[in-house]
This record gives sequence, C-alpha cells and structure tokens, in this order.
Amino acid sequence: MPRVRTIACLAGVSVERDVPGEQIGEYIRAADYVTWVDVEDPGERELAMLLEEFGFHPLALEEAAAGDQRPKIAEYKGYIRVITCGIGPRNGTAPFDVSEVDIFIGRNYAVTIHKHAVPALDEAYRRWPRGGAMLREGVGFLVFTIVDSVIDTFFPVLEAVEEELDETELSLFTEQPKDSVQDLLATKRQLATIRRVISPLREAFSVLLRRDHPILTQNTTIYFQHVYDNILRILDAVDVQRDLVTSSLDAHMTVVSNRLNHTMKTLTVITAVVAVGGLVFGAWGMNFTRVPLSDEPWGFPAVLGGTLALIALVLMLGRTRRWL
Amino acid sequence: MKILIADDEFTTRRLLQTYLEKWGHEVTAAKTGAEALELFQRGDYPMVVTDWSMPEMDGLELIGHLRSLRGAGYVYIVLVTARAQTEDIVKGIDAGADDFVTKPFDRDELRARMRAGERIVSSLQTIAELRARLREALARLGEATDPL
Repeated sequence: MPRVRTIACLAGVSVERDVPGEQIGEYIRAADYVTWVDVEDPGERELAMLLEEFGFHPLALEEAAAGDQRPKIAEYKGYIRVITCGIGPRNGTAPFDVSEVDIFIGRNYAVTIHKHAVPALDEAYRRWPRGGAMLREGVGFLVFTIVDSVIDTFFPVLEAVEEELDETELSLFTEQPKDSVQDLLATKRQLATIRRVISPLREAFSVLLRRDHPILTQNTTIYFQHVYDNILRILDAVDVQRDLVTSSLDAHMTVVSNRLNHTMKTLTVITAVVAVGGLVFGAWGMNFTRVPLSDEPWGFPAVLGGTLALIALVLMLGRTRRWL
Repeated sequence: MKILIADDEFTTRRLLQTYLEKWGHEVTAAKTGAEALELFQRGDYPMVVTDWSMPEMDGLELIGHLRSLRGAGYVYIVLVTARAQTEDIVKGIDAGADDFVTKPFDRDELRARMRAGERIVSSLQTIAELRARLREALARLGEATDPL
C-alpha cells in the first residue's frame, strides 16, 4: 500500500513533519528549506505527484518503483539518482532481505522511493531532525543520514555472520560435527550476496566523490567520504570473513582426512588380529593326518596360547603406534 | 493570546510569526531586544518568545528587564536559541526564562510547549482574578462590619 511521508527543515530553524502534498512544491522552491519526501510502494498517484512536483524522468521513476536495480549513481539535469541497497533481518527461509532504496537528490531536497518498508529509513527519519546545527548544512546532511542509515544495516548482519562462523569453526573440531560444511557454504553464499550488493556502491561513491557536481558542496563531500569509508569497511569485513570461511573449509577437509586416516589404522590393526587368528587356526585346522603337536596332550593349549600371544603382540604394536 | 517575538534573524522571526498566527495567537515581532522591551512596555503581552543572541540587547538582558518591570501580571518567557549545551539551558532558565527551545526546533514540539505556556498563563490569570475578587469581597466585608 502506498505511503508518503514528508519532513522538512525550514532554514535550519524549525522542523516540520507531514507536509501536505499540495505544499511540497512550495517547500522545494524555497532555497533555504531542505525537504525529504519518502515514498513507499508508490502507485500511479504518487508517481504522478513526483513527476509533477519534482520533474523526475518518467523512466527513472518507473525503474525506482519497480525496484530490482543494481546499486549505481546516475546524473540527470538538476538532480542525482543514487540507488542503494540495505539488508534487513532474516525473513522466512532467506538469511536476510536485500532492500533497494532509490534516492533522488536535488539542490535542497531528497526523495526516497522503495518498494517495501525499510526500517533503516525509519531510523533516518528519527535521526535527521535531531541533527542540531548540522541541519543547516543543507541536503548533504540529509542524504548522509539516509545513506548512512541504509549502509549501517550491513554491520549487524556481518556481526551475526561472524558469530555463526565462530560457532561453526568450533564445531569442526568436536567429535560429532553437525552440518558444518552446509553452514560454511551457507555463510559463503551470504557473504557473496553482501559483496554483490555493496561492491557496486563502492564504485558509485568513488565516482561521485571524484566528480564536481553543483549539487554536491564541500560539506556534502565530507559526509559522502564517511559513507565511502563505511562501504570500504564492510567490503574489508566481507573479504576477511570469506577468507575465514575458506580456511575453515580447508580445516574441515583436513579434520575429515585425519579422521579417515585414524579409522584406517584401527581397521588395519583389526585386520592384523583377524589375520593372525585365521592363519594359525587355518594351518592347524587343515585335514592332514599329521599336524604338528596334534599328538601332544598340551598341543591345543600351546597353539591357542601362542595365537593369543601373537594377537596380544599385534594389539600392543597397534597401541604403541597409537593406531588404536 | 498576545505574544511578543524578539529575534534579529528575519527567517526565524517570520517562521515563528507564521506558526504562532496559524495557531491563533496575536503576534507582534521585534528585531532587537531593545525594540522588544519598548513594545512590551507599550502593550500587554502575557507571553514573550525571544532569541538569545541579538545585537544591542541580548535575550538574557531582555528577560532581566522584563522580570524587573512591575507590570500587570506574570509574563511567560520562552527562550528560542541555537545554544543547546546544558550550561546554556541552566543559564537561560536561571536568568528568568520559563522554557528553553533549541533551534532547529520541531514545530509540533514548539506548539506543545506554547500550549503548556498558555495553560500556565491562563492559570495565573485566573488566580490573579480570584485574588482581586477576594480582595474586593474582603474590602466589602470590612466596610459592612465597620458600623458594628
């Protein structure tokens, strides 16, 4: 269901929430006002309003409404479109939700469009009016608050992945590991998804920081630099965790190989024990008329005792070599 | 309710005036503390909204002058300023302000604070009226008991 909410900072003096739709045009025409319009699941009416009041390109609006875009930055006449992605908590079978947020940035406004509810934007909606003196720095601080809140959603997910990875690593060395490989592969897939989402953002912000744009002032660039640093931090964390997953998988293979080796040694000792018994009893059990010691009254106990002694010797050898 | 605004910044003055008028108040705006003091002495303003930093006479000085004047009744003073440190709030309230609003302020919060101010002002006005009526009644009682 479509939802539009608006918040504006008037000349760094006051903050107004829920600006009526018919007054939005008036607010964006006032150069010293900064307005944020957040549109969730836009319908035809909302798109028409955005087209009329802000003059956004219809194709850009359509794309934003449809979602499913690669994170990027596109420049239009008079505004910039930044497509960012955040991740939300687990939902159903998926480890986490990737939520796209399109931000249209003008000289004194930002319009966010997203298909589903994004908790990070609720956080930004609460955070921005509490910015104090920074609210006077114009749209830069607003965009920073939005993008930073969206990017910050990666950190708790990465922390959860790290904790899971630690647990899986520990379980690798227990006697009965449970689904460790599946867990590791699932973690690897999650990290790949995060990297796929965040990596284009690094390129986009890198380009944005290098380019001169009339909308981006010196102050704005400082904020964007902070966002860019956070993106790099996330990518570093993803890379480190991917390395950990790979080394954990290697460690798992080594543990499995060692366990197999140990089992083989044990089986070898058992085979040797059976072979000794089989050899002696096979030889003395043959149907020859003259079998050594068959005429002696102590023959049977001697052969049995000798066999048991040989088996004990094999077991002792196995034990001393730690094959058992 | 009649409200006097004192702020040297045009935008803040205009915004405050627009809000307060929209909320049904009768607003007079002054550009400096001195002008506000002059307007206050000429009119009857139960509420004053003032900025802290102003040329010639700052908000705290204005509050000092307002409090020293022996007027009709209590004046409810709201200090609207960009200063947000705890020591500023303490200093402002100690100087005689009744409420402290930090810029940029939330419109809804300002409205709620103004409503609270109005409630206090009308309560004080009611008390003053009751006291006057009580005094009158006592005077009449005195007159009635004199011949006895």
